[in-house]
Amino acid sequence: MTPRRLAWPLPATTLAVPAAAVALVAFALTIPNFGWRSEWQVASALAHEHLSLVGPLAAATAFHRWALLADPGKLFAAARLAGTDRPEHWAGFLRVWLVLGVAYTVGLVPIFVHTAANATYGGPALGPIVAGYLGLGFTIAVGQLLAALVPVPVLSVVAALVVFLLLQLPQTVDRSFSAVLPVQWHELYLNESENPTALLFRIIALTALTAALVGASRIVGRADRRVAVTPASAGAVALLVLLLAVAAVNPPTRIRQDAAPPAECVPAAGLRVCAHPGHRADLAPMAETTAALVAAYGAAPPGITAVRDAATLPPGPPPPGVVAVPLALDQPADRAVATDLADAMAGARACARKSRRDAVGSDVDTNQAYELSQWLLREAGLQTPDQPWAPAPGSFFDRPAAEVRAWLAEHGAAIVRCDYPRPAA
Amino acid sequence: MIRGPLLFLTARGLRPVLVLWLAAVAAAVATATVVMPVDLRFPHEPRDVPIIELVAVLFAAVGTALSRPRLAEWEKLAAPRVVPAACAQVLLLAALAAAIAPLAALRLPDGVPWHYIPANAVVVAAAASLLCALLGPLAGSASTVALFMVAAGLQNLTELPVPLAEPDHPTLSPAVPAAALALALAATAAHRGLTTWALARARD
Repeated sequence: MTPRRLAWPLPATTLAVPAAAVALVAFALTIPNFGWRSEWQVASALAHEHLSLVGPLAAATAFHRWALLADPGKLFAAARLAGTDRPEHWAGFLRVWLVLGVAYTVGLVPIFVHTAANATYGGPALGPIVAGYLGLGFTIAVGQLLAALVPVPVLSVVAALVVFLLLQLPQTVDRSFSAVLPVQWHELYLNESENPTALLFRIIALTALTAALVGASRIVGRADRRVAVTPASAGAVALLVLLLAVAAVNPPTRIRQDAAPPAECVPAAGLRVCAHPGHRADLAPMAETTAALVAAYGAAPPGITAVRDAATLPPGPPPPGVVAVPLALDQPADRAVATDLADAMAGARACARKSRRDAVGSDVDTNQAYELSQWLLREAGLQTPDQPWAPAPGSFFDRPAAEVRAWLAEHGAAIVRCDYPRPAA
Repeated sequence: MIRGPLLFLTARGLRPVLVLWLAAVAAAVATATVVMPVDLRFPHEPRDVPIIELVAVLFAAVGTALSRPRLAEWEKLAAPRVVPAACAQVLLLAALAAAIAPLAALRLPDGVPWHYIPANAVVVAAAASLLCALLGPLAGSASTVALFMVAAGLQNLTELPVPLAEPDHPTLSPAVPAAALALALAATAAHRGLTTWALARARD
């Protein structure tokens, strides 16, 4: 089918221009991901997350097309009805879906190729990708129904805004809307995946909603404007109400965490350093940073046995002796390990817990822990130049390094618990 | 029988515009307390967009598109008599757009920043009249809303001089909306709502 034939009876530009915009927007939204870690669960989810802006564009396209075709009083109505028994509302919907679906794929292919080349764990998740294309169809169906209700082509902008706000509902009004809307507003970590039940529910709900909306666009747009109640249409509406009620009453648990995620470990200066296979490239910088901090400390700190990528840990608090380091998509591994391990060595986390428990008298320890962690970072050559920090007089920074290390060797176990030894008064 | 300016405004789609305005006021009153966060990257100060501002922008863009000249060929023949009416229409749309936020703000508690919105609505209405005349109603209104979104993003991320007020810095010189409106009126006086180029393109 030529583009001209796909867009018929409207000019080919009515589909070509939105298709170019969809491909451009979908690609532009993925640009930051090229500079970040390549993880398959994130790349797969982009297929539905980027509907946040592509969806409104698709809705406006469908609105414009159907507003021109649906009005029985308009010039194009004759062309639309020429074939008579063909269901034109489905033809209109499928054509827009096909063209924009291809454009969406064109925009997303680069990031998928990049992920395939760089990711070291897992593979593309089919479910979220299917949900993405169904979500695209859903936004098109919303646009088409709105056009059947108010067939004024100029209002395409309003259709785009309505769909934009509709897709925002899960993050602005209630999370349980994400059970039936395509955009989830949640970035999955490496050890997380979507619950298959929730995903299946969403796929069924999006399909049913799309079918109902496209069907309604026919009923509303008909010349005689009579609503025909058939057993099929009544059943479809009942099914729809049931689906939405189930989602509202019992929102599914959306995210599933691995109970025993895989890990790859190397020894580093007496500690075990572990990373998820998906973060294989980060293992070497993690081990290097750990070794540098242990050297700054003087010996392996008591009470700390391992430094682990948070994605290798099962849900719940980390086991004792383990420093969990969350690796955000855009965060270099050495920075993450440097701050988290230095804080753990200086007992900063224990101090934070302590000051939450009993607010009185713990701020002296907290300040000392912060100072010590900064001192360790400086000794290891890991201080960030963009955060200048002036140590108070009489702090660790004014004492010889050997003296601080001897003090650490003596009191290390207590410091990790945030029990700083009080100077004899 | 209607004649004179009222006839002109009716031919320009005054009734749908008024219906749209009432709907916009109702929507703005209903969502007066809702704010769309625009906070794209952390250290930058957020430039949130209240829904009442968004509704005003949307009304300015879509209202201008709805009141496009439907008899442009004839209006271009009757130039001297059409010019004041076409300019009055631009002023009317700007005034209606500017009136939305104060009406909705009756529901807001004291101290909530909304006083900056009418000036923005006037600037956007002027931009909409320029863009719709240049690009045609559909592309003109779409690009007006898109430009506003881009401007909000720029105000969030950069220090560039964007000719719009912000909730946190509600100090826009009154010269800016005045200049925008003057520009829109001058352009309207020249082309009376639709450029010959857009007219020729729409006729294909």
